[in-house]
Amino acid sequence: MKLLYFAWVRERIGKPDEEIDLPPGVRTVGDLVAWLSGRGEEYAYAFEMRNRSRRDRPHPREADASIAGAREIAFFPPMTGG
Amino acid sequence: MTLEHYPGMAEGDRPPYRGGAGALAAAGRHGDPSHGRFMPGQYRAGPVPTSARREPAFAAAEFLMDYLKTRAPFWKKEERAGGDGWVEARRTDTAAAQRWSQDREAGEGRKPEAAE
Repeated sequence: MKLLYFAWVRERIGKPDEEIDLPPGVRTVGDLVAWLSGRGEEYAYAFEMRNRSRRDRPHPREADASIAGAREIAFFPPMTGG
Repeated sequence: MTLEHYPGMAEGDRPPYRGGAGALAAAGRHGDPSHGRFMPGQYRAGPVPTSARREPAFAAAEFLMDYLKTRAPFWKKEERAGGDGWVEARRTDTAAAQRWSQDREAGEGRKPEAAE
């Protein structure tokens, strides 16, 4: 699975993308964020802001969304336009 | 200013925003760069809707700007004397974009109320 990072998520993690092997048990967006956050301080730092913005604009089903079959997942801040 | 985008998402066909994605693709084809670093005055972009009547044309421009500010996969980083920073989403932009969804639920052909 390919992961893409944009804007300050990319800056905090330190890379624009990466290929990962999805660990067993990681089935939802929430699982993936939790697993990535545990990979290192840079990931935890990137996703702590994401958690805060989710409380500001709650999407209750977002964390439970299944990632089964996904080939590419992108993480980015709220879009702010061109 | 640096403009970053997610090309795979911008070029997708995602109803009901086909018009917005088409506009972004058209800007690219006409040589307007849709991403990269720009100096002040170097980057300009805007909607150019056409219609037989002015009211739909103005409404289309408003819709497209609201779409670009909230749904188009672009992010802006501004370089300022006091430090660089990524432009954050604004609640007013989100509220402005949401009025179009409410209008679609209410029926076609009516301009939504202005956002607060």
